[in-house]
Amino acid sequence: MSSKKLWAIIISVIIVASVIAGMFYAINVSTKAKDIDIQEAETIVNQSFDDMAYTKAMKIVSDTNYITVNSVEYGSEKNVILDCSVKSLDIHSVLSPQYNLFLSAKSDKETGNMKKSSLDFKREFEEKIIELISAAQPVTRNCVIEIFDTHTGYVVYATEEVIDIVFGGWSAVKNEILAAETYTNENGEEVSVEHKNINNGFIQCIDLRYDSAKPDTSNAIGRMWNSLKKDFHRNFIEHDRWEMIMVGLMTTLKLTFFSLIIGIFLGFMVAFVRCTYLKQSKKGILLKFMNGICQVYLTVIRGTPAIVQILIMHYVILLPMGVDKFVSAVICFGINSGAYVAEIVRGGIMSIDEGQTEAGRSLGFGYMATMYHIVFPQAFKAVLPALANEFVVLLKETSIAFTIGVADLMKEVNTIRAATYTPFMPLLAAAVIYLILVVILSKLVSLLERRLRKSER
Amino acid sequence: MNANYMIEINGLRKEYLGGKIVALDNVTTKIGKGEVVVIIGPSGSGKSTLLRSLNRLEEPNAGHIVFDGVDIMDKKTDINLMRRKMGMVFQQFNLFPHMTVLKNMCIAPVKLLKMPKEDAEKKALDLLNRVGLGDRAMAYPSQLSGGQKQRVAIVRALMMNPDVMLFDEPTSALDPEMVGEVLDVMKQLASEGMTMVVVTHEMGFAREVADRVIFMADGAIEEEGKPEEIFTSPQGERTKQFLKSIL
Repeated sequence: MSSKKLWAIIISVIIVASVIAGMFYAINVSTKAKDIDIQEAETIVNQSFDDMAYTKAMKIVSDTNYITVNSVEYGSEKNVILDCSVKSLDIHSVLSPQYNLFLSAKSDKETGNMKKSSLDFKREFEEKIIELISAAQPVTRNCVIEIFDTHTGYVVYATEEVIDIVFGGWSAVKNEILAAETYTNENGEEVSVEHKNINNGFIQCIDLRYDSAKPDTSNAIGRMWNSLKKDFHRNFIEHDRWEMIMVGLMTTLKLTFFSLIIGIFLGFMVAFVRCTYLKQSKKGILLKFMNGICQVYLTVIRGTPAIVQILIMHYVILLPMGVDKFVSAVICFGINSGAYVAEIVRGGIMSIDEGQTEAGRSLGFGYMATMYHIVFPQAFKAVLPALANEFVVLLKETSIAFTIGVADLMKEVNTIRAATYTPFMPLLAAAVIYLILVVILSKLVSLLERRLRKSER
Repeated sequence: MNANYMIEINGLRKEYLGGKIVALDNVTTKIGKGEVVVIIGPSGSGKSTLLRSLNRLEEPNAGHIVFDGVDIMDKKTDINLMRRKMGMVFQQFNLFPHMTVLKNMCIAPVKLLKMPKEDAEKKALDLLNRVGLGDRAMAYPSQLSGGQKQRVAIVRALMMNPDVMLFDEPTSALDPEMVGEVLDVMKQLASEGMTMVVVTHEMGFAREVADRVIFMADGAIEEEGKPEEIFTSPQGERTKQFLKSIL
């Protein structure tokens, strides 16, 4: 197949996939928007501004006599999921660092199925909120807050500008809304507050959500396009998030490069030992021992998932020794790919005709020299496609390094996803970047292969 | 020990599968300096095994091979040093496909004898010219015909200035019209006084060039002698049968 054709197919596949994913996403967005119950929001607002502690979440808590907190999960710094007996409370982004502390302090007391009176819970909650409010800066600019029901529980949402001041912000928003006649939303449009009514003002606040500044009246495709545009802006342009992706990409490349060097080195060593063992008729004790070690190495590494290996390697072996997580990841992936490279190279060496070794030996070369000058160069050429494939796999496999916290491409993308709460764009970006890298790598290898093959034509 | 003998083989034995198959059974013979010995015999008779044992590409189980006064079966002998003095040509040529003809020829002397690269290349071109391949020095083995490959393989072995040349069925893998060019090179080599041990089915070559013909059957030397004796008046029953079937 010509390379032009190949490229055309790859690009069209990307486009089709993007369009389909985008459509699904647009459908999703509209469903989510429907979930917001304005009546409910008004009720919350009424209560919220009359008494700061009466958030929707609090209402639920107070409606029940007892609450059992099953677990507190920290998805990321700004995302805390409180799994309690009433309902799981999913609080995104709204939680300030202080609030995080608050929850973690509570989790100490409340995990382990300890029952706690809702009154106690409420009191502590209120105390903490009052504390936070008193420490908060007054809001002097637009504030975007949304509260809505999802299937998993209550989601309180605020843009990042207000995260650190959100609890104080509510009262300031109230004052601001009361004082202002118009609002400037994020798109720079003036939105009037018709009634200096706090409820409407808050609804207006909800309307100011980044993706529903104004009802989008264009057709379905137009809506999809607009939402994609906003998504793109939010995920990549805002806060220079694309820089995070570039930094992550560099980490991924570095990780792959160093792992690859270790992998090739280990792989050739192991393959050499295995081949020597298989070919030699007289097997010395040292050779048997080395072959045994190699067998165990190959069996263990190829028999366990990479994610298990990296977790064990980091948390069990290297972290207690004080090794940096990036180094951990390099070592782990190096050892991992070494096992696969070894089997590939062994196959390559075994595929070289025995006559080549005999010719080398008959000229007076020793076993090692024959391997080095005659067998390895031919074997390398024979296994190059398989090796390249292994390196492509390695490049993709490094994405699991984020499980131990290495700030690679996947980790950065995931961070963006958690911060923007929109999975489509960041994950698509990750997929596209990996794909491009893989295609470029494959291309380079096929060039190299063609060059090597020239010598035999 | 007679200084006139290049190789003395004494009681050589080779078994496969732990003794179930005996490839060489008590083979004893001597090869003199400058002698051209042709080994013939039916397939499976151990000719190739014998030849390959001479530089220990096959590891004999018992017996002695004394080459240039050194017992190469001795564990203390550095076989790699001995092999430098024994050129070998294979049925399948075994040229290194990833190297040019010139590189094929130069790699051993340059790496092993520390011969300067220019000298090695000069010598290689000299040898190539002698076998009529002076213009193919930069070609890769895959660009050569079978006959050309085998001629390159011969001169590659000659690059190490061997004392003896071992030929393992050098023409068996060749198209019939290419056999001649390889045999010509071998004849030329014989006329220059090279000690040669040749396993072959080319009876014409044996008759014309050999100083001695060894007939082997079932891993043992059945009969040996001057080619005219063997070919015109064979003594053993097996020899007669074999010669009748191929002539």
